[in-house]
Amino acid sequence: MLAFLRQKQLRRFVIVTASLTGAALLTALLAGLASQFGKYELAAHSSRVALLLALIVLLYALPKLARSLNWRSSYAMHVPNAGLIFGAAILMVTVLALSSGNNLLYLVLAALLATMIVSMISTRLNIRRLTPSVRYPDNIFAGESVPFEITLQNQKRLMPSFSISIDLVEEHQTPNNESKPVEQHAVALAYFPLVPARSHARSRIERMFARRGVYPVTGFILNSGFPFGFVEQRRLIEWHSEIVVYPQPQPLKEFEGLLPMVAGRIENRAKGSGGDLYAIRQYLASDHHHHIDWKATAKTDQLMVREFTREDDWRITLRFDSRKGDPDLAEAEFAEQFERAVTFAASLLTHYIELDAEVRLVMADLDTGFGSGQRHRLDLLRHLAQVAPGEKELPDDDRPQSGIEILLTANRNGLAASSHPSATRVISFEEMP
Amino acid sequence: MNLDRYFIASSYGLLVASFWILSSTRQIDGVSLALFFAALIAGCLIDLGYLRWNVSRRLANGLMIGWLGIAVVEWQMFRASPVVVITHFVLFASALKLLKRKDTRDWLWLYVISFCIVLMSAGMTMGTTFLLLLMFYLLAAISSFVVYEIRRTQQSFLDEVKNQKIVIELWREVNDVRRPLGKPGLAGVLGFSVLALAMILILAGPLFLLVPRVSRNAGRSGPSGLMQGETLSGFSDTVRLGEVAQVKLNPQVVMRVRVTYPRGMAEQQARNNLRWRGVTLDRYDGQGWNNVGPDPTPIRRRGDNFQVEDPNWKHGFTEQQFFMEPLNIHTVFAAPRPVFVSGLPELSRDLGDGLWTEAPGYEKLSYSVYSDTFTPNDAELAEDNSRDYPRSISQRYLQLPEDHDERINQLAAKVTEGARTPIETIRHIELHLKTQYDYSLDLRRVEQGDPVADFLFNTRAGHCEYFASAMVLMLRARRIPARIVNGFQTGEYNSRADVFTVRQSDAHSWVEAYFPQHKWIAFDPTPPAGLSEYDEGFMAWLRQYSEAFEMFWLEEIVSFNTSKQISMLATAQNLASTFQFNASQQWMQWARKFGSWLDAPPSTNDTATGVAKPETPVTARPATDYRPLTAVLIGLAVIGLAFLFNHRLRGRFRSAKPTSVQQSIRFYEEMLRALERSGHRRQPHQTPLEFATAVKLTAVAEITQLYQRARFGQNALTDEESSRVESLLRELKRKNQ
Repeated sequence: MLAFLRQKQLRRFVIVTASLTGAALLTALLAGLASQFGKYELAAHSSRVALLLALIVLLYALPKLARSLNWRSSYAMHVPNAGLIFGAAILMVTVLALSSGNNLLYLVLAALLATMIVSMISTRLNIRRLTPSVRYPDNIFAGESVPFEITLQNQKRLMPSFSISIDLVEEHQTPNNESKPVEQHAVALAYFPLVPARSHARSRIERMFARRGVYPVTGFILNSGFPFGFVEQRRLIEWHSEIVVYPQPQPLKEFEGLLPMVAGRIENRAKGSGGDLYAIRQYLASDHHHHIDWKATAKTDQLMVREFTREDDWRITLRFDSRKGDPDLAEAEFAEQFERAVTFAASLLTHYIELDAEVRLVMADLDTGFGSGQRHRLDLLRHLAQVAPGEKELPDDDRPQSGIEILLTANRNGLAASSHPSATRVISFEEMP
Repeated sequence: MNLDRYFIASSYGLLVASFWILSSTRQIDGVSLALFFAALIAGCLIDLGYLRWNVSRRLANGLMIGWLGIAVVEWQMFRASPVVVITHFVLFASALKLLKRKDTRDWLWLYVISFCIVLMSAGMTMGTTFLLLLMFYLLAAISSFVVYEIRRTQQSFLDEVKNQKIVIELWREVNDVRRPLGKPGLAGVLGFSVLALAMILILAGPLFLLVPRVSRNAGRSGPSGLMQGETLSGFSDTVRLGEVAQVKLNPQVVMRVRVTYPRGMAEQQARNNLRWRGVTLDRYDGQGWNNVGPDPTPIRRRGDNFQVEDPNWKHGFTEQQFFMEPLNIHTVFAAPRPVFVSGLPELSRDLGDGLWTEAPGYEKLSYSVYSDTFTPNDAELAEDNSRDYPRSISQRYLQLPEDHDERINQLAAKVTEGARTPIETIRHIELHLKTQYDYSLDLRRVEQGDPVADFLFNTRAGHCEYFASAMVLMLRARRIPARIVNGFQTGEYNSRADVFTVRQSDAHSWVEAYFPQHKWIAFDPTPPAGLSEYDEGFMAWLRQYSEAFEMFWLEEIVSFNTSKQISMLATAQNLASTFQFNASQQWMQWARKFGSWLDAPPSTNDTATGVAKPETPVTARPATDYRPLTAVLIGLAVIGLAFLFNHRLRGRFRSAKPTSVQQSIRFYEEMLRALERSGHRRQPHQTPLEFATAVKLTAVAEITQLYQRARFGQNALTDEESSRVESLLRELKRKNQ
């Protein structure tokens, strides 16, 4: 629809400009002829009208042209080694032909020059009217292969496209290393030897992201050296998106030493009056009749009651303190510890959510609130994907403590002032295996 | 056929094309070509997997170094030309590359070598086959490079993705239905190659014409020493009887001649008299003819021309343009009595009026001659019957050998009995030889001794040399100065190219006899059977067209030089000037008509006669009616302005409801703006539903649902729903202020 609109606008622009310009020219012509034949008054009037029409054209056409002109071209040409060698061959033949005067060498030279021209035109035409798109999973974990599906649409009516490489331009800023500048690099996504006219091509590759983080995507680069490899045409197509790579949760067995008590508390969760069904058992005299489960009773011919968990034990609050505790600690070492801590946090969250706990993540600028389920888990992982070392303290928590609290901090000496001195466990980054 | 096989096929096509170009030059020996062709076949079999040879890199390098020694020997000991030595080396290097399983670098080397072969061949040939083979070479090169580029890029990508198995799906969407496409064949590559070749040829033409020629040698054949000209016997200053007959056995083209006859001369008559003089020979030693006398004298150049004779402007000149094949002789051929010659670097003339040049035999010469080909009739020659010959003429051209056979004198006397004038004598002898002897190329002899006497009295059959020799000897016996001329008959006329194609089989000998006033006049005693006949039919027609193309090739391509380039540009400029002149003339006519309309008399005039009525003063001119023209101009301006402002007017007065889609987009964007104020910003990766879930506001969820239904669903919002959206938005804005 947008193309059609553009065409209509273009048509209107052309009609308006042509009509006004035609009128201006004819009027100017009339002025000239009238002056030639002595009709000075007519000439004067006609000149004024012509000038007025010309001004209107200028005021209308020029701004439109200026707005529609895209000064920044998305195409770039690059001459690889093969092109340089070909250029050298042209030069050599030119020297031979000019010095010898042999017309057959001139013929060869003309053919070589024509080949270079055809190469440049073909390369440009080859890469026009191509629309790439990419699909990848919403949830990507570090260290895991994920499929990237790339589709290329060739909108040209007649001409196929040959030898198209598609790269994805990503930026990468090391999350815990702000001093390192943002790197932009092109990642090879797909190669299509041939995409027929008016058709689509799709290919799939497996990618693995070694590190968690957010990878902003700024666009695609379509690259082709077709037909001869003497000239490479690159076309940048802007497309903004993000690839969020979550930290890869590890089995908690690796961290058993860190929180045996916590693990025990959770595994041996008390029975309570929480909302979650814990078990169905036989009726005891102390049970409230509201808890009788009539369905189970009917099935078993015995009076059965529902037993619920204790709500507060099903709640885990994970506080992540991203400050650097020891100022003398080397940056690289702290970065490593930080990454391990993030991985531990991700593993912890995953484990407890899988056990249907309600998990809450608190960081310097974030308090997710309690939540459960996969959606909440992915939400938390997304935050952990983006967390980076910082200077901010953890916020004070006015809410009454409920459930288990775990504080991950680099400050072993309590520099991270937890507002909950009764936190179940303070785990230092150094303790991470 | 998969990509690899296609690549091998097109690469070998490229190599075969370059080999073919080289062999078409006929400058390289057959053994080398045969061995290289064998290497080509072996290489192809190796690449296809049928042979398991592999010349290792170390062995190849060693052999190439060894060949360098052979090259030196070839050059020094066998005196081979440097180009042949280099070509042998290049062929050998190519063969070594062919006899192994090739990787990318090897193919690149082979492409470079094939290109060098094409360049060398360009210096060794002038034929049209070069053009045709070059086109074939280009097609193969385009195809090879295209596939090479695809393979290289594909491999580079696979290396980057660590050789993952990549599967590509192709489909086309027709009316929103997906139709899978099969695996694309290589027809696209071949089709592109053909199209690219066509574009290259179209572009190469103008580029060839426009690239400046700066060398003095522009338009000449090629670098020195690359070509070996054909050796042609019978055209030196010593000719044994029978040499011309040997030449006549060869059908190869010697030259092409374009002739422009002088005005007033009947073309057929002129054509009948035309022969291409080569050498004249004056002394007969009983076995052959030779020229005695000093070396040819150089003729001084006057401007662009050499003046050979004082011109007789009475009859006009026959202009001849000669296009010579490379010949290893220095004879300059021309119609009898050349007056002006141009296009040669230098020119000399011998005592027998033969013309010579020192231009190298490998050159494809092109030159022009203006000749006085007027031949007086017998009546005029009869009046020229003086026997008072200059001493220089009588000394040279009445010579008879010491052991001259007396029977020839007797025969001459008998045949010319009753002739009163020299011309009658000449005609008698000519007629006698034409009618009493047979033409034959068979050189059998009956008796040893004078071959001419043997011909006249024993065999009574021979070829043109014998007839001409016999006539000369008989004329000299009758004390008429005569000489033999070796040259060529007119040749086969090609109407398509307007040239006479002269072949070696047209080689001919005839006689020139001396008249004091008219000087040397040609006579031909050879019977008609000895004159060339040319077949007709389809093959002749085909041959004519191919020669016409050859002529075009020689004139417009091979001989294209700076002056032709300037002439072409001047022609283009003239065309542009003519067009401009015609356009301005046309414009002036229109302007005059318009001016007369401006000054048109008022309607009270009698328009039929253009005479004013008596009561209307002629000098009074009422105002001219400009309304029609003004109306047209105003109309144009109005159209333009109307289009300019139309869309804005429509916008202002538009009362139609926005479409449902536009409505939905508008209220959704309003909602987003309202939420932004409270810090809820929708991220680019979030779908509307995800965002609504994240925000956790009922109003947002409801608005989002309605938005999705209105935007992507089939049903537009009802009025109640629209009102509901507006009230939700108001509530949201109030909460988020």
